[in-house]
Amino acid sequence: MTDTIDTTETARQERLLRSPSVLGYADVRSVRAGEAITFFVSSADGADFDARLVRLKSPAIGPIGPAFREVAVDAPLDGSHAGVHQPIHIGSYAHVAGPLPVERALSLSALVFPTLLEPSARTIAEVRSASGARLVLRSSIDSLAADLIDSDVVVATAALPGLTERAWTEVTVSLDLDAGTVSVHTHQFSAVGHLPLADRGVSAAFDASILAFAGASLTFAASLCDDGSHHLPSTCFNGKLESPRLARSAGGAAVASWDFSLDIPSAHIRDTGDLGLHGVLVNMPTRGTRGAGWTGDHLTWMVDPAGYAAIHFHDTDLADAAWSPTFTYDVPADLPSGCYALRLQPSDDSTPEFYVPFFVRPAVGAPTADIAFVAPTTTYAAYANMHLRVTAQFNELAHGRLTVLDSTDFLLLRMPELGKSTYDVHRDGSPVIYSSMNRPVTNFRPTGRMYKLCLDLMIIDWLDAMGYEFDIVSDDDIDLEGVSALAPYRVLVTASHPEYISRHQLDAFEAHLEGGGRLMYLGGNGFYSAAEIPPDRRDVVEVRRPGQDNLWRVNHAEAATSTSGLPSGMWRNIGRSENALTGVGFITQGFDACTFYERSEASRDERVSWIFDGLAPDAVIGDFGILQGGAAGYEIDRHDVTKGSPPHSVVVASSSGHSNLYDLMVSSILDTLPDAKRTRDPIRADMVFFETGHEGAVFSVGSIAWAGSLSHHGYDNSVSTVTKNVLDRFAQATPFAAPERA
Amino acid sequence: MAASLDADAAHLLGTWAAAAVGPVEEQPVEQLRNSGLINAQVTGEPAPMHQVVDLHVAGEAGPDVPVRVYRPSEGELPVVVYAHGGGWTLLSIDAADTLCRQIAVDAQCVVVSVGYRLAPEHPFPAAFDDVWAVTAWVADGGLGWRPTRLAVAGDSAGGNLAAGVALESRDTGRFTVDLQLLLYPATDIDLQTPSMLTLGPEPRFRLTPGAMVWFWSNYLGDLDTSVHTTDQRAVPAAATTLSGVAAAIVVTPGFDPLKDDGKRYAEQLAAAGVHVELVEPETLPHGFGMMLGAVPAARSALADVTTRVRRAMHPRPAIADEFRRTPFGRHSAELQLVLHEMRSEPIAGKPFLFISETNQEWVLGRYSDDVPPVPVVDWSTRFTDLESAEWHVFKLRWKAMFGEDLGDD
Repeated sequence: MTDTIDTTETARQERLLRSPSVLGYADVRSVRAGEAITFFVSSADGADFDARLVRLKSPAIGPIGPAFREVAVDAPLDGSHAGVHQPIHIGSYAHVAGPLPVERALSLSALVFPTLLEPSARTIAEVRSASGARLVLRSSIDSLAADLIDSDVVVATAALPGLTERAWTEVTVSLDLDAGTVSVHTHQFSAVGHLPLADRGVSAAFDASILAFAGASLTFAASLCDDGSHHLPSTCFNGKLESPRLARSAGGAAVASWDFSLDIPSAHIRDTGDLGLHGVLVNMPTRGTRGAGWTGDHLTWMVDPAGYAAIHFHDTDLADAAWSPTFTYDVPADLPSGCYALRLQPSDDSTPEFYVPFFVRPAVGAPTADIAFVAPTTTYAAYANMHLRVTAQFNELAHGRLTVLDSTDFLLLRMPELGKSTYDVHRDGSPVIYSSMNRPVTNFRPTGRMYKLCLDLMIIDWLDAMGYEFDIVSDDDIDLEGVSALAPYRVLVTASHPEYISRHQLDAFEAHLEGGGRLMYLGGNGFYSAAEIPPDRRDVVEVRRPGQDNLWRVNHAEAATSTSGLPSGMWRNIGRSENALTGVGFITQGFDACTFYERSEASRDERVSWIFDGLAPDAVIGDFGILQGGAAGYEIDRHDVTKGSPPHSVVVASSSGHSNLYDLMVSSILDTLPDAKRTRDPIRADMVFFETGHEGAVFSVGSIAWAGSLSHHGYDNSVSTVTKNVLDRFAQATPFAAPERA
Repeated sequence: MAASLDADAAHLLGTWAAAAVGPVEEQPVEQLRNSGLINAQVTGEPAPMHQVVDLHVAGEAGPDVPVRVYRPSEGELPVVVYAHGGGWTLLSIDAADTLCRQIAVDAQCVVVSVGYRLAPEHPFPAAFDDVWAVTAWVADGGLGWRPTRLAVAGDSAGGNLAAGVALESRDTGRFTVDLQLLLYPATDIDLQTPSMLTLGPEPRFRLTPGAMVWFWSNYLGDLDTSVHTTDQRAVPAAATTLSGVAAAIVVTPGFDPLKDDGKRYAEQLAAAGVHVELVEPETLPHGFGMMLGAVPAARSALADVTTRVRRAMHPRPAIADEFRRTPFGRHSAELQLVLHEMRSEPIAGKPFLFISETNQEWVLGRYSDDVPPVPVVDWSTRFTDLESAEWHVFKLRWKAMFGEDLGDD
C-alpha cells in the first residue's frame, strides 16, 4: 500500500461520475432501409463531439453474459463534429401570435384553477405588444396581480390576495391606456368544499402617455421571451385554464373567445370569434381534463365536450426538445434490419457515451425473413426518462434491492429539463400523461439496468447467435400501418416487456393471429396497458391509469384519452384482457429474486410435449440466468380462464417459490383484510401454449426474466432449447390443427 | 499432502529442544516451572486493555482462587473463563496473559483467567474445583453483572478443565455454559492415537508418551489405580454422553500429539448433536497459543479462532443472520418488517449503488438532502457482488436503528 494517488484511477472515477455531456435524439424510432432518419445533438459548452453509427447486436452487461457487440457501420455522419449546445425549454403554454385586435384598451378573462400555488409568481396570461410592452397576469400563493411592464420597467401593478388552490375562479384583467388604469377582478365559483368568497377587484393608475398596445400577441400559462429563434417560456403556470375571452374594453363584447373543448386531440386552440385568432399549444399540456362545467354525468369529452373545456398546464410538461437538426442519415437500402444506434461522445472523451438507438426494418415489400422481432417502442416511450427509479423513496422497497445507478441515470437529477415519464408526477401531484421520445432519453440504451432495451437485446442476441434470419418491426410501425406491418411475417417474437399497446397495435396483433400468424410472447406484463399515439405527434405516447391505486392514477372522469376520447387503463378493464391474446395475464412483480419453471402433467401430452424435446423428462427450466439467477421473475403472468385465457390453452410449465415482494403486489388489492400480506393466491409464472384455430398458435412464457436466461452456458440450456423448439415449429408453414373439442 | 511445520514454530521448538536438559518427566517440577522458556518474547506483545484487575474468588472447598479479569472495553460484555495449560503442573496466569488479552479484544469478551492450584501438590479435583468455582462466581454476577453469554475456555490441560466444567454444568444445572473453547485439549488418556504414535516420539513436540503419563499422573495419581480416570470432570471423554453439552470450538493443530484426541472429542460432540466448529491449523504445533510473539502464523490461527468466539458470544439476531444468508428472496415476516422500515428511508441520505464496472463492481453512494438530490459516491466503499453491498448497508442501517454492531463478517 502506498499513499500515492493513482491518477489514472482517479481520472476514471471522475469521468464515470460525470453524466454524458453530448446528448441526442432522433425524429423516429423505426426507419425503413432506404429512408432517412434525422438526429438532433447537443454538446455541453459547444464542445466537439464524435458520432458513430453502430449496430447493437447484444447489450453491454459486463462479464455475466455475452460480450457487448456494437458493430461499427460506416456512415457519413461518423467522425468528429463541431458541437452546439442546444437548451431544452420545459413547461407548457398556449400561444396566440395575434395580432390581437386591441390598441388602447383590452380586457382578458379566463377561468382559472390553480393546482400549485407557491411563493414565486407564475404567469396565467401575458399580452405582449409589438413594441415589447407587456401586461402580465401572475399568480402566487400570496397574490393575484396584473403588471403593466414597459421596457422591463413595471409601470403599474394591480394586486389582489392569492387565488384559492383547486377552486375555479373567473379572473378578468383590464387595461385602459387612455384612462391610465389596470385592474383585476375575480369571481370564485361557489363549490362544495370551498368557503364562499366575495368578488374582488382592484385598480392601479399610471401615466399612459408612453404606451401603446398594437400588434400584440397572447400567451397563456407562461411568459415568453424571444431569443431570436425560439420562444423561451418562463414562470410557467401549474393549473387549469378554461374559456379565455378577449374584449376591447372592460365589459365590452368579446372579440376573441377560445374554446378548449374544441380540437382536444390536437395541439391547437381554437378561437370561435370572427377573427379566427387560433393558437398553438407547446409542450403538450393535458387536454381532455375536467373543467368548470363538469357534471359527473359522462366519462368522455366525446360525449360531453363542455365538461372537458379546460387545459391543465404544468411547468414540467415537455413534448419535444425542439432542437435544430444536426445531421440526417440516409439509411442504405441494403442495410440489414436490426437495432442500431447513434453513439455520441465528447471528442476529448471526458464523459461517458450516450446512445440514440433506433430500429431499421426492410424496405417496403422487401421483408427478409419469416420471423419478426417486435420492438416495443410504445413501452420504451411510456418509460422514457422515468424519474421514479432514480428518485422515488419507495423504489428500493418495491425492488427489494438497493437502487443501482450510473451517471446516465444521474442526468434526471442534473437536468430536470429532460422531462418525465408516464411513471412520474408533475409538481402539483398530477400524473404525467404524455411522454415523448423526441428528447434525450436516459433509459433507452444498451447499457445500464437490464430492463427493456438492454434486456430485449438479449433476445436479439439469441436470435442472432442461433442463426435465425429475422426482421425487426416496431410498435410505432404497427400503430401506423396496422396488420400490414405484420403481414410479411409468420412468427412474431415479442420483447421481454411489451407492456403498452395501442388500440391499433392490439387490433393488428389479433388480426395477425386470425390470419394464421404465430405469436411467441417471450416476456412478462405484456399487452397490459392501453396507450395512444397521437396521429400528429408520433413521438409521443399518451398513458392514463384510471382506477389504479398508485401515484399516477387519474380520476375515472379523465380516463378517456385526449388522443382519441376512448377509454384507457388496463386492457383487461376495457374488456380486452391480455389473457385472450397470450393465454396469460399479469399478476405481480418482485424484482428481487427469480425462480424457474417445472413442467406440468399436461405438458406430457404429445400436443405440447414437443416444446420440451431434447430435455430430460424431469428437467426444470431456467434455474439460471443473468437476471437474478432464474428465468421466472421480475414481472410475471399467470394463466386464468376466468380472466380470458382460452379454455383450450395448456399450461405446460409453471414457476413457484417467488419472494414475498411478489405477494405484496397481489395483496395490495386486499389490504383491508387482516394479514393481507399472506395471500393465498398462487404466485407463479405460467408457460402456456394454444392453437388459434386459424392454423397458427401462441406460446407465452409470462416472465420478463426469460430473456436473461437465453444465453446461459453458450446458448445451450433449457430456456434456449424450449425457445428454439417453439420457434422452429412456429416458423414451419405446417398448420396447427385446432384441438378436438372435448 | 501433509502440510509441513511452520518455519518459525520449527525454529522455536528447535531452540527449546536444544536447551532441554532431558525428558520433562525427569526434571524437578520447580526447575520446570522456572525454566523461563515461555517468556515475553515468545508469548508476544500484550494487547492494551480498557482494564485489567487481579482478584481473588472464594474457592469451592479450598482457598481463594486468584483470577485476572481482562476488560477490552466498558460494558457488560459476555464472559470467557480461561484456564491456562501446562499439564495441570506448570504455567500460570502470567503465561497466558497475551493470549487472554487477544481473546478479550478480538472476541469482545471479558476474559477471567484462573490461577488454579497446580499438581502434583494439589491433585484432582483441586484444579477443576478452582475453575468451577470461578465460573460459578462469574455466572452468579461476581463481576457485577450476570453475563448474557458465558464461555469456558482453556488450552491443553486448561482445555481439559474447560471441557470438564462444561460437562458438569450440564449435569448439575448450576449455571449455563454457552460455549466451550478447547485449544489443543487433553480430553482422554490415550497414548495410542495416530497423532500420538507418529508425533509423540519426537521430543521437540514435548508431549512424549512418557511426558503425558507424567502429567496425567501428577493430576490424577497412579493411572493404573486412580479412581478418577472414569470421572468426566477429570477425563471428559469418559462422560457417559456428550449430548446436551455446550457448543464447542475445538482447535487441533497439525503438529500436536494430542491432535487426534481433540479431534475425536470434537467428533463425539458432533455425533451427540452438539454444535461443533473444528479448527485445524495444519502447520502449527501444540501450544501455539503461547507462541504469539515468536510465531506469526500462530497469531493468524488465533484470529480465526477468536472470530468464531466473537460470533458465538455475540450472536447475530436471527433476522440479521437470515438476511446475511438470503439478502434476496423469501424472508420471514419479522425480517420483512425490518427491511420495509429500512428501505422506506427518505431519499435524502438514502444509499444507492453506483456502477463502477458493469455487473462487476459497485460503489456505495448516497443522495444528498438537496432538492433535487445530488448523488454522492464514496469510492472507498466498493463491492464486487450485490450480496455484500446489501449486507454492508443492512449493517449500517441496523446500527442506526438498534445501535447494535453486527460485526465485520
